Amino acid sequence: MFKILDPLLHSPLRLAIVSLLIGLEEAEFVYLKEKTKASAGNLSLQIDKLHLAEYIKVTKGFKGKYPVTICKITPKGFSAFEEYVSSIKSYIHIED
Amino acid sequence: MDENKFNATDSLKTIEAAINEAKTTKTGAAFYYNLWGTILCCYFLIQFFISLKPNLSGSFLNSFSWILFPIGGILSYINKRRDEKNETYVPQLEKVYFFGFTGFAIMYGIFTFASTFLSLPLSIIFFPLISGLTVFVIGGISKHNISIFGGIFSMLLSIFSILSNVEIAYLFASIACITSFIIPGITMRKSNV
Repeated sequence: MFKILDPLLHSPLRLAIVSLLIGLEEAEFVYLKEKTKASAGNLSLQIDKLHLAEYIKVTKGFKGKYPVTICKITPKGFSAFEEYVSSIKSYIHIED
Repeated sequence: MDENKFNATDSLKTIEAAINEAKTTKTGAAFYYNLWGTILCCYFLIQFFISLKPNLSGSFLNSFSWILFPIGGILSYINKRRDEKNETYVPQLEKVYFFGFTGFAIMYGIFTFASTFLSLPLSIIFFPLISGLTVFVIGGISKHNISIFGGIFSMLLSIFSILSNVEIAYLFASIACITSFIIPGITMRKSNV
């Protein structure tokens, strides 16, 4: 039986963002942009979606004179990711 | 990647790539291991020589051993500021190092207090034990084998430290600095931990 995949996470860029944040304490927008190779506009849009769903916490501040956006995974985001990985396993098992 | 064609295999590939990426993140801990390992090692060695030759107790060498600590503090502060400017992420292990070494500092502070209160050199005798234990636990969490072995070696040194007099205990403390901090620090630098 297929488990339902979280539509918010079942997207290449959003999944990449959450997967990167899972392994880190927090990351800046610049880091996520560099690692996902996404455009700033698209990345910003996907971060907003994850933020609205409370999967990630977004903090805006300044580093010296420059504005900085810091993203951090939330407990809700962590649980959603775990659930997603568990669901995806059932698909892989059947595909094998 | 097209969102409509994104399947389970692609998902796993994305997750795997991100996990591998997170594995390569650096904490910058090697710098602090090497800096404070060297400072503490020099301090204990100087104290060892002074305890062997008491006429050196009022010398420049003794004063110099105390100057090392503010120098270490300034260098740590400069490095931290530089890291904050350049780093675009905070690795999870950074918290492990923070709590590990805060615990170490608290333990060492209590031993120093006990040493003064009981007039026994406990902080010197047990330095290999507390430094070894800290590095052993952190090494276990961060899966850094050299830290694990270095920590075990330092903890074992404390047995000899307990059985020896205070002069030799200083020497054991300086050896513990090498095995707990300097050697793991060098290997961390090489492996980009």
